[in-house]
Amino acid sequence: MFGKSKRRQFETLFQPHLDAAYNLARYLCGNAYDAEDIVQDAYLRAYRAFDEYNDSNSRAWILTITRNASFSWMRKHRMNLDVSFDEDSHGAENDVLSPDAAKYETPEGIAGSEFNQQLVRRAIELLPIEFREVTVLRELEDLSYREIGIVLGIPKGTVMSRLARARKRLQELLANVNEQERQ
Amino acid sequence: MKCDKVQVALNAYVDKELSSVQVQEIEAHLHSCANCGDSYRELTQLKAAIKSSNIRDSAPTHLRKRVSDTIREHKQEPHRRFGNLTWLAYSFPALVLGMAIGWAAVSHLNALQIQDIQTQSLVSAHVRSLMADHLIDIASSDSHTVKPWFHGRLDFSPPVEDLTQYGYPLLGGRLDYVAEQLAAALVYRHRQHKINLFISPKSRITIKKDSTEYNGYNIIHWDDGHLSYWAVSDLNRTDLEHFKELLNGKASPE
Repeated sequence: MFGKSKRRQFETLFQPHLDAAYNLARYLCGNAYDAEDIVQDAYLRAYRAFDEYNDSNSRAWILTITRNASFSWMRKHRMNLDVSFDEDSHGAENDVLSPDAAKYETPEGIAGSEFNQQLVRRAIELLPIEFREVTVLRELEDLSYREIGIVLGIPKGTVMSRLARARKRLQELLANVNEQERQ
Repeated sequence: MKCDKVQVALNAYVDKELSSVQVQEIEAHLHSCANCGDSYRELTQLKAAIKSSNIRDSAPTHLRKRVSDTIREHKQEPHRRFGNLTWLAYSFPALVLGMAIGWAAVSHLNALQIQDIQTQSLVSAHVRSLMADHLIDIASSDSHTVKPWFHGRLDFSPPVEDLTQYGYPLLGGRLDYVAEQLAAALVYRHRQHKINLFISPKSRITIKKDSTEYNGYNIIHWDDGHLSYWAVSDLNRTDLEHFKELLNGKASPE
């Protein structure tokens, strides 16, 4: 009786954020398969902690938990949290930032500011994790600085400066591709 | 505002996170600084590029179900902790139902027992009246003699009818106790069989069965107006039913 209504309440609040949670987990852990495990873990954690949820921002709340679950998963799998993806495990074969791969992925090539979908994805994936998460939350999930601050546990001003550095790095990565493409 | 600060603030500007005062400051700077203007255009291009790349991943459909199932399964955990209580909670309605059925059965049995006792008391009264010299208090085949005799002896007035012409002569009447209630008993005879007709106000004796049989005696019960009637006899049921119908004026003579 009670359990059912609590579950219903939980699902009403947090099921709408499943895409956001999955997307964040997907970009943090780097693959779709593990992202599912992370999201499942995150929602279970959230459900266990549901009594502590204080009617604030449900999206920021579930994304905070998803981020924590992602970091737990990465620690467990001994992933380096300080730097971007290991180039060895994401070798040239599937590295779309390499010129050959870029050609393969984009028959028409890259013109001006039109970045290929896969190149943008790959560039974001190559960002150091602290830049990656702030980029995903801002550009893919459209969170406000305040919400990002809640999820990352940092002040709004820090959100802005971190985003500035992340975008600079992202521009460099994409410019590098453009440069390689022109050669 | 210096360019290095503007370079950072431009991010909040493109993200529409600045106050109107801050927006005016930035826009004033952009008009006068080509370098920061370039940065602004690059930022808007980057944002547009990401937006148009459509690289946000949606949760697979099966994940939605998987998460739902996980939570539903988790729901059981607190219940497991109070396993016994859960069991009790689920079995409580069954328990109540069981008790209700039990209570109903006991009440029904009780009612049956009461009915049996009352039926038994009717038969006992009938048998006693035949054994002891107490069949008749007022011996008369004249209903006009028997009927007034009950006045003052009972708080109700039983109808008394002689059915001699129908083969059921009235032998007389007496007072009797049936189921601990004072009742009028009229005695009739059909061939060699005696019939005791017990009459009592309806609510006092609660035998509900229309007719029954007890130790070889037939008992026929009916209500008429505010009075209840029980005809008790070793007479066969058919004749006893006929007797009843004669009393009710519904039957023709034999």
